[in-house]
Amino acid sequence: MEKDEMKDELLAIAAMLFDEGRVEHFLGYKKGTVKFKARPLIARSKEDLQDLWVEDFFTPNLTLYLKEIKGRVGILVKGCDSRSLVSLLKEGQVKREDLYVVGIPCPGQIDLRKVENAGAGEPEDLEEISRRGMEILIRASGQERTLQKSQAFLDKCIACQYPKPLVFDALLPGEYVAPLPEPRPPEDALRKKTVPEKWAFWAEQFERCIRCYACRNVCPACFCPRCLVEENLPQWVSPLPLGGDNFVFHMMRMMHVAGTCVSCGECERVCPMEIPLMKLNEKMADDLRELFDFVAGVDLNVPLPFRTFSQEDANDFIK
Amino acid sequence: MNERLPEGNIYQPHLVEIIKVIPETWDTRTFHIQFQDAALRETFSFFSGQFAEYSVFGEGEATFCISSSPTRMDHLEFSVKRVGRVTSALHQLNEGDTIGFRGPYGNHFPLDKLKGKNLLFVGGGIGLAPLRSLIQNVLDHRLDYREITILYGARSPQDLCFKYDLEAWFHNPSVKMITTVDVGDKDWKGKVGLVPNVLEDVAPSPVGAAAITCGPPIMIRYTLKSLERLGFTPSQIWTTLEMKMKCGLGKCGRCNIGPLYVCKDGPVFSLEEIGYFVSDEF
Amino acid sequence: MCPFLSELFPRRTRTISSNDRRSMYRRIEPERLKKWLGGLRDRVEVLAPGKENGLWTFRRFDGLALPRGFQNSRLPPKALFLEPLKALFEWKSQGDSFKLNPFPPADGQRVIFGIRACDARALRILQPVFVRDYEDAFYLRNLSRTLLLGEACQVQCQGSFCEEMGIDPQDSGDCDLFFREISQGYMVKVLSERGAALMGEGDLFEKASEEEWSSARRKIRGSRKKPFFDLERVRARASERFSEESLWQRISATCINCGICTYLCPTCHCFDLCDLQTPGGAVRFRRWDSCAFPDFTKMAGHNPREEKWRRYRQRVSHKFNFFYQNFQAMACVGCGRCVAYCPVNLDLREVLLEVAG
Repeated sequence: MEKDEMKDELLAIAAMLFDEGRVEHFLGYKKGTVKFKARPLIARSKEDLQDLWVEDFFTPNLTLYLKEIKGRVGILVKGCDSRSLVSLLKEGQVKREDLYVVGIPCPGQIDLRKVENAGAGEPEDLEEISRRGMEILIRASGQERTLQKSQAFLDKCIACQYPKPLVFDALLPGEYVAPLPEPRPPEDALRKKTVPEKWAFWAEQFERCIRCYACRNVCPACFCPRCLVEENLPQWVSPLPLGGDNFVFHMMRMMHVAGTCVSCGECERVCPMEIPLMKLNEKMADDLRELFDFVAGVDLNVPLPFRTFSQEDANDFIK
Repeated sequence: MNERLPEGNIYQPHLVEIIKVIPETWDTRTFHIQFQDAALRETFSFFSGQFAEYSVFGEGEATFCISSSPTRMDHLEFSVKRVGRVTSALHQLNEGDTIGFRGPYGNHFPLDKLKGKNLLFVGGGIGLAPLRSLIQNVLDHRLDYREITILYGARSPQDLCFKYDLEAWFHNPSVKMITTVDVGDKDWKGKVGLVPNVLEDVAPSPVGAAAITCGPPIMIRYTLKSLERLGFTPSQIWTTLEMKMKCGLGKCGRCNIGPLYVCKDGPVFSLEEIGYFVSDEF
Repeated sequence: MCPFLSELFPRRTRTISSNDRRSMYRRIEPERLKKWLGGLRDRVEVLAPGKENGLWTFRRFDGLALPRGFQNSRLPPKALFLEPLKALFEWKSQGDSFKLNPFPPADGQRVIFGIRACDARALRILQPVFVRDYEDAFYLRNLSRTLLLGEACQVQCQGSFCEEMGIDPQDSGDCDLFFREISQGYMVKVLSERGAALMGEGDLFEKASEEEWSSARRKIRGSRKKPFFDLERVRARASERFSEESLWQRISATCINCGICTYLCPTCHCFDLCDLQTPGGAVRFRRWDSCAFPDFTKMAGHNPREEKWRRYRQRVSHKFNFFYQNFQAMACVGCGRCVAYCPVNLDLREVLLEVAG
């Protein structure tokens, strides 16, 4: 079976890395305790690898741990995660020679909220989720249902342009999500609204933010050792969860990660209040493409737009 | 014992006026304050070792012990080292300015356990502030106690706090006063050396004695070791600890060391109570 | 092993005595329940589960339909008692001097319908924190102005372990009325005089027997084999293994130091006090805070919990050891929110098993 083959190869590589003393940590996935979830595994020895798991549902972006885990690290990356790696390499946050990158093919991730909304059942009732060609088979309370990819996949997977990892030392065998020929046009209804309408939308969303900082902490692009919101001398943003300060925090964070954010979608996945943060990321990515012909996390040789300056930069915004 | 605050709002401070500001060192100031409410000036009381939360409205609140003694109640005193937002704001204030005062909070030094004993005070830097309340208290009832030894040290002569008190204690014949600095200067005539080391040189006897120490965490850790080496048992040693505090009421969950809240079960602890955690959580 | 808190901490209303067992049980049809709840809105604020922005929350009951498919709210009902943001007092400058104005505690009677046994117990667990030594008028007023109309669970929440924590998802002594859904409506257990008074006179609620109540207990859907852990052993081992750095490091390795577990937890109560400057003055607020945040215990020049493993050790030790020492109750009701919503699926159940091992 495909998955077994993939897992055996992964185990062999990771074990070899420890045996040969080439890494102190290996970042992979292990089975979640909540249905249809995978979670990070930080292995510090060969023994820890016995929990390695490569069934479906490996959504976490492991590159976030490179903020914390220094030294030589082995890491498992999907296509989208590898883009985060490229960004981090460009930002000088990690050295290529410290990493052993294992690329894992990703067939696209299931969005449990979409499955729930499609009436296929609540998480408690879901028994099995499997793939069959372009369809997703759901079994809930004994009943079977089929959903199309567009009905069941995460938005970012439907629009995936880089299913194959861009950086790797070893590539595992397996099936990839089929990419679309060009970027999917945004179906986001918000884009068509007026500025006052957009303001009202986001003002309402940010009223609900509880400042748990999960979005910031899970983001590989947010690597500041001390975040601006933690500073009180001077106090740039109040730590109080007031609508206005929440607004500033999120907008400020978006601006800070522009160019490094690769729309991996983790921020939106982890938000306990389900604030649609990806709308902001996608808009930012589209603006960067339009203004600077720049796509984050793809080409190691292309300089970051907000870290470089050239005489040819447009200055028509100066009025 | 604990003040019932206005309107039953436990978070709201009393208004106090600054009546004197004394610059102790380049980064430390002592403030003398008095309640705006005349009735409160009469009824307020506290015990040595207790602390309060002081507000600079719009900047925030910070925790400082009450460094004056309850035996001298015409005003209250507290000392502030300038290290951040609220403390910087406090250092900008002058006589006549108003701040908030919430307290007194916490437990206090157990005077009944210290009576009739030889007392050894070991302080470092700004850590002398809480000890000072107790020292003045003890000196105001001098006959209740036996020998009094005060060992105080700072990084340099410029960092010594409460110089006026050190002077008075030095000239007090019923007190043995030893001052030390880590690094001296050309005018410095006193001892040079780290407080724990000087302590072991002085080697006070643990017989019928009680030791009270306060200072930076690392100084406290080494002083406790030295005291143990000198033969002091955990039940003979008291310290006053500092953890980050906010509410002072045992509710915000911040200042705990194990199951003990520094704001309610402390800040005064005997080593017997706190020993297990000192090495790890403090 | 957790004694009934209503015995240790007397509630502010009288409970129904066992002599009144005959009047302790009722039955009500769904339409009548809807009518009754709707009618209550004339007198009190009625909060019931509803979906807002896709999330279940306790909000104003619209009177149109009883909630269907509700398991539990995303944010715990503690948010209605210990608010995420609370203005405490304000300072206003008046010429040369200034004045302090306290904000009064919230007013107005309200009922919360549909609260679960775990969340109701959590409110009782938190009560002594806000009562002991200094009474927090804001929290206490919220408690005294609210009636809890609890409802039995029908589905086991993901990640939950309420029964291990001594909570019966289908029964609660911590509410004023407790409902169990049956095919023709609801069985009701009357637990306080206030609850009895709320039901009122008239015939909306029919008298019922204890047998009917007992037979309304049903098998919980999705109930799975529970990891068994001995709470007392967890507490003892958490204490013994306090200094075992490698244990806490291993357990907390994947934690990302966000505040989700704290903010979604019905028994977490850490807060910060913070000033906000306004024109001509300032307001002092109380806001939620989390011991998981790196700066939680940071002082000038020294942070006793700089490392992540120390913060995680504090979280587990506080909930399962220190809080128990101080209040004779565990600061956890096993609601499962921290397990279900942790971004990295750090499972507290596994942690407790490992600590107890």
